[in-house]
Amino acid sequence: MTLKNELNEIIKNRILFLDGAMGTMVQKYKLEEEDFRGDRFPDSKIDLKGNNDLLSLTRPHIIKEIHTQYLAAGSDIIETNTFSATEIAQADYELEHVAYEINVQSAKIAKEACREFEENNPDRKCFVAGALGPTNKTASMSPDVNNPAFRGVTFDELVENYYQQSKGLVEGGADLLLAETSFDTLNLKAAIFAMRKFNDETGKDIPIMLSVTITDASGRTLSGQTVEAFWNSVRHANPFSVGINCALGASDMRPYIEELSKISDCHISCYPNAGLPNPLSDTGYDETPDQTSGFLEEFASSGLINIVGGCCGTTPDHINAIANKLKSITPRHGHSIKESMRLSGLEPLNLLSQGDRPFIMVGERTNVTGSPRFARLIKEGDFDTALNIARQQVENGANIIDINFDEGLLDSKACMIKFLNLVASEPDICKVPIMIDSSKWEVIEAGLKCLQGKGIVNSISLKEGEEIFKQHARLIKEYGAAAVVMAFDEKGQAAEKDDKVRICQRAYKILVEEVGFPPHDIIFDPNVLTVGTGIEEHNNYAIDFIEAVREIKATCPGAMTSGGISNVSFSFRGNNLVREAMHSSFLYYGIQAGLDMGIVNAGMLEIYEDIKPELKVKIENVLFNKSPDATEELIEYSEQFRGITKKKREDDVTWREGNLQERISHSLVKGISKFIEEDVEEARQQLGTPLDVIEGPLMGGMKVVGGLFGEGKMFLPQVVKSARVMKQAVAYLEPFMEKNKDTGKTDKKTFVIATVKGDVHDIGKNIVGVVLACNGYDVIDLGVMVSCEDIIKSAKENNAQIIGLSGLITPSLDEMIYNVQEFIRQDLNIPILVGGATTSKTHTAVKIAPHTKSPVVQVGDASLVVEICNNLLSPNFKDKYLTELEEKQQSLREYFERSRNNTSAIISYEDALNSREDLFKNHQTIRPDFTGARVFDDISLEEIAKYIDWSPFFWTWELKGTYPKILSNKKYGEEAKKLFADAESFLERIIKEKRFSPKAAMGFWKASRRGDDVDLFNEDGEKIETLNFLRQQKAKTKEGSSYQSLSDFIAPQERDLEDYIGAFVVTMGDEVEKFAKNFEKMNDDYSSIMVKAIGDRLAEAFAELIHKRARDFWSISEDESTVIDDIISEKYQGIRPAPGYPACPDHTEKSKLWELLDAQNKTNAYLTENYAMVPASSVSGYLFSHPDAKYFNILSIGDDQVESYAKRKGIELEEAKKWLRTVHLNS
Amino acid sequence: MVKNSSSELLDKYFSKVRNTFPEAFLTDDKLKEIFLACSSEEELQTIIHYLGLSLKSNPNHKKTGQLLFESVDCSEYQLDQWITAIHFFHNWITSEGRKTTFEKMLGYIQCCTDSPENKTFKYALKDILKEMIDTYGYNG
Repeated sequence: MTLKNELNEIIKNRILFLDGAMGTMVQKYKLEEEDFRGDRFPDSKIDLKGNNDLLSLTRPHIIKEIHTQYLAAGSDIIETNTFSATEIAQADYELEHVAYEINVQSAKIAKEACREFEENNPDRKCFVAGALGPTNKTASMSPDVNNPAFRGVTFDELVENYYQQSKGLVEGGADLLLAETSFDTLNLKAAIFAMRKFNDETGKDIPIMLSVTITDASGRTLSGQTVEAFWNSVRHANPFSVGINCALGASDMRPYIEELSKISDCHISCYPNAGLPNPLSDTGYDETPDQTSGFLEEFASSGLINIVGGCCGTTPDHINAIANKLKSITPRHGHSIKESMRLSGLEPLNLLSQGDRPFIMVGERTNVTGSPRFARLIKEGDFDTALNIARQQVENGANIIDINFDEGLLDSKACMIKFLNLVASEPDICKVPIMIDSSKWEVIEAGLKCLQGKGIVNSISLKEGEEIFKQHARLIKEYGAAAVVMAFDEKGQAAEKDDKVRICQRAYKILVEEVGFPPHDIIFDPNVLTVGTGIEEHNNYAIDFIEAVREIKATCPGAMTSGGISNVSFSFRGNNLVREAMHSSFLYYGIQAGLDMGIVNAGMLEIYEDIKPELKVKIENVLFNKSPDATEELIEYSEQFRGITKKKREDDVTWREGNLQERISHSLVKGISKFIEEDVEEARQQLGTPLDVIEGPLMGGMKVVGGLFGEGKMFLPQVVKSARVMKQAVAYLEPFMEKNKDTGKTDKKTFVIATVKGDVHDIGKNIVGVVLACNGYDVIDLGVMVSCEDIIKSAKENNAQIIGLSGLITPSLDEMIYNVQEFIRQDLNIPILVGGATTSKTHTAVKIAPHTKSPVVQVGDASLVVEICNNLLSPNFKDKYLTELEEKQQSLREYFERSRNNTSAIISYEDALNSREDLFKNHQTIRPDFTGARVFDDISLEEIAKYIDWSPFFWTWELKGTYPKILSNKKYGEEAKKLFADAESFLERIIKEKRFSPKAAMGFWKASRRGDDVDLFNEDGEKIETLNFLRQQKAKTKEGSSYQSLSDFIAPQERDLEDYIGAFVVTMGDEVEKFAKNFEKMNDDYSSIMVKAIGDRLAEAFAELIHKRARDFWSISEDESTVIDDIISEKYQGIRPAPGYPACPDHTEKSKLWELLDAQNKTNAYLTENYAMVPASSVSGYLFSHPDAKYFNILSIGDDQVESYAKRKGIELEEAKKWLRTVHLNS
Repeated sequence: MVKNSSSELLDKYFSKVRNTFPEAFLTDDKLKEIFLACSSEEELQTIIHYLGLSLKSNPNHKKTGQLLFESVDCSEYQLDQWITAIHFFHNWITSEGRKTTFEKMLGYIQCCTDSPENKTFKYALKDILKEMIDTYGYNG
């Protein structure tokens, strides 16, 4: 009897018992470093403690003792001590060279323990399972968050490691191979490939056991697969058992064991942890033997398991308790599962028999041969945007996505690997199975090595003869994939039905009978060929395909059918409406004939029932070759549809059938301006006065908008569009108001808002204004850089109820304090709102509110402003609101008083200076191509736009997320897409009409460091400027750490090195403001804010471009990636920190850059008294080229450094404290 | 900052915990620093729990143990405040019936330290964390 048969006999009658944790038992021996080193590795440079597998060589008696304890406790199968015995895992200890030996010796130890135990217990039969762990690297996840396409290990490396491990284990005497604790199915697929290869090459039939780890209550593996998706991915291993171990205790594991037991047709194993981790308990886990065995007893009684044991935290006592409770329980009865194609991505996709499932759509747009846009993106290296195409297909309903890079100028293999790795990091894409599409086998094989799920190969055929066909089919089977088989043979492509059927039947026979390929994993593609070409012999192609499908389904049991649907309509290119209808008709009849799946553009399929009857008839005349004139007739008829796309949702005007209030509300909520004047006029005639219209239906509609926004059901861009419609309506009514002289009758709430003196940022302020206007407030926006006097004057003249102060830069906080003091002095006692990036509740309570008796409220987000204002003005809620506000602010002030002395633990400035790392020991400084300042005013907007980082654009509109992922975000995606489409359209217009005038000044100067100052020199060696930098002082955890300063990146004076520093100023010009103003005049706040937001993005993009130029001038850009996303992600040498930001927080240093670059004359950009840059769409910064230059935060500094800084900079101490307030806290 | 109860924790649990984490993940010195920064057994339990989860779920990143120390060094706060904040975060997220990863938790706390609310004076880390959770919630 073979061992496999012997095992099968035992397992029929009773549950088999595995052992428990090895690591937990090793810990009990309290081994020290010398135990791990033994006599063999006394000189290891690396600590070996913790390398438990090594104990098989250095303390084999301990390992054997543990095995024996488990056998005595009742284990039938013990696992070898080889969880990490691969070269990959042993590399951590630089012990790759003993990995094989560990496997051999570990298996020998386990086998010997079994033999001795069996001698003493002749009634017991014991087995050794060679344990293959997951390794410490993952093949389907990147270890580098900034580079999702990167992999720390390849499939081939894993196969090689696992092959050697299998070989060593079997050589040592292992009876079974157990690949366990699988957290990444791709790693496990490599183990399966290796184990089966070993069996195949040695002629052995070592049973394979598999065990997956479900990491938490999400019910997924670490790499994201569900239990069923996992099983579909590994079923090709034909394992002796599959199961779940580790991570979870038994009770948490139960639903997943139950699911696995239901869907699997092999034995089920289960070896959970002893509950949850508790490193402070003796075993590191919290369950007792009685508890664990109690849970597992219930599993067994429910008929869920065949093999049971324990993982982390379990001991011989646990196994003994389990064996005692479960030994007499009948094991799970095996069952067969319905044969069908079972694919997977992160989710399963089971293609049950037709009728039990919908038609399967394979997305075709990620194919460089079929999608010009995808091809262009890949050629440009824009893989991120290309990923969006994959995402859109899944969103549009594709069940599988087809990926193809067969294009002469592309490195198809490299593209396939990179794209599949990127897809693997996008759960909303890789949840579906992947179809790897290539005519090149090496590309297909490379793709198969990237898929953790069960995918499909598209395609193989008999084109190159039977041998190659069989060879490829065998490998596809081993990689665990299904395959599309094209109706090609040695003679070529089959066009007629009989040839199609003949070739497919031949291929089927070879695959099923000779290769052992599962019939359900075969998909025949009998070639969809183009009809309506004008060539008579093509007229029957659609019928040939449909009838071939019918016969293949009838004569090749289990096999599936598919086709590239859009091929059928190539003759009608340019007429999408006809093509979509044609695809639907073709599919309609194909599906009736048994077609299982089709490669289609999932977003472009007309509903069959919706096709115009006349068009349907003409299409079907062509498809079914009903008359010789069918093609001509369809061409003639279809001309009327050329260029027409499907009716857009916006064109649907059924809402116009509602009553007047409903129509006005609809226009406002949807931001539709087309009918608003018509409706407002109707309302005016009905109600009599314009004011009644405003306060009636218009405000009624805006209340709906405000309500939806407050409930989070509308987003900011939509609200701003609503405001645009509202303003248009009011503008229409204004002439009538003048006639009626009824302006000012209203008791509207007036809100005066301004960006304070010295600051120019106003997007946030404008948004707040729009939101308030939408909610019935009369908003008087005074603009930017508004003096306190002007604010007071306007508030008094307009009888304002609330004032809003906005500012972005830190100095604006002082300006706000000044404003509030003046309001009091000038007897203006109304509530004040403050907002902007640097404002905070804390600063407001501690530094602003104490100056006034009026309430001062900080508004963190435009969505909050209406509620705050309503509370401040409501007779019912005001008192309560103000009491709560005062209590909260008082509590913050008390906290502040208590925390005055809570400074960070800092080291002395002297010690920080002395900690400086010498970055110039082995560094060659580089001279840039020029010195002094230059102007760059000939760079096109088109070129600049390539460098746009879109994420902050969405943040401006309060849509939280990063681009491009936000476009598919569940909450914001739909609105983000619309907003982005509008942005692209505006950007296109700005570029085409050359709306902005980008200008930059950039320069380089010789530089040397003195302390934390950097002196700049002209070419004659004369000192022209000194830049003053700060240094970190906050104590670090690691002794000997260096405390950073930007000055570290410039060579010191005492070194004989010629080093350089650069600087730049870029601006989009005052045209941004002017262009935005045009829209404001037209009451179109949406477009105005959009223009400013794009202006800001272009300014940032321009800074990125100028930095790229700087690296070119410095000749340090040769090796950097040319992919824009990599540049935006700062994957290059050098940095461009800006004065006023974390590494150099003193805004006043900007003035030196302006002097050096003569920036005001060269770019027209200037600085306000508070060092804000005007125009607002401007960016400035230093340029450092040192390879170690990185961004950092200066954090807290001490009095000693502030004093030094004041002295170095030649300013008063109080002045220094003022500008360093954000890093010199509690002062 | 050495606290008496921390020393007791060190004597009681260090060797057990040492066996749980490889040296490559956390050196003896770093592990001791963690023990000494804990002000209660509950805090120790929480931080060890998260370090353990991080080790298990990041096989590609053996050095995630150092992430905690890097986060401390990039902030205004010392290790003891970080551990107190982590313990607070853990209790809060558990009370919500939710879970998160150690890495996401550290990232969130790091963002809290950089909040404008923390620019007027330095809050206790736990307090600024609470303020941010109350104001903005947590989506991780």
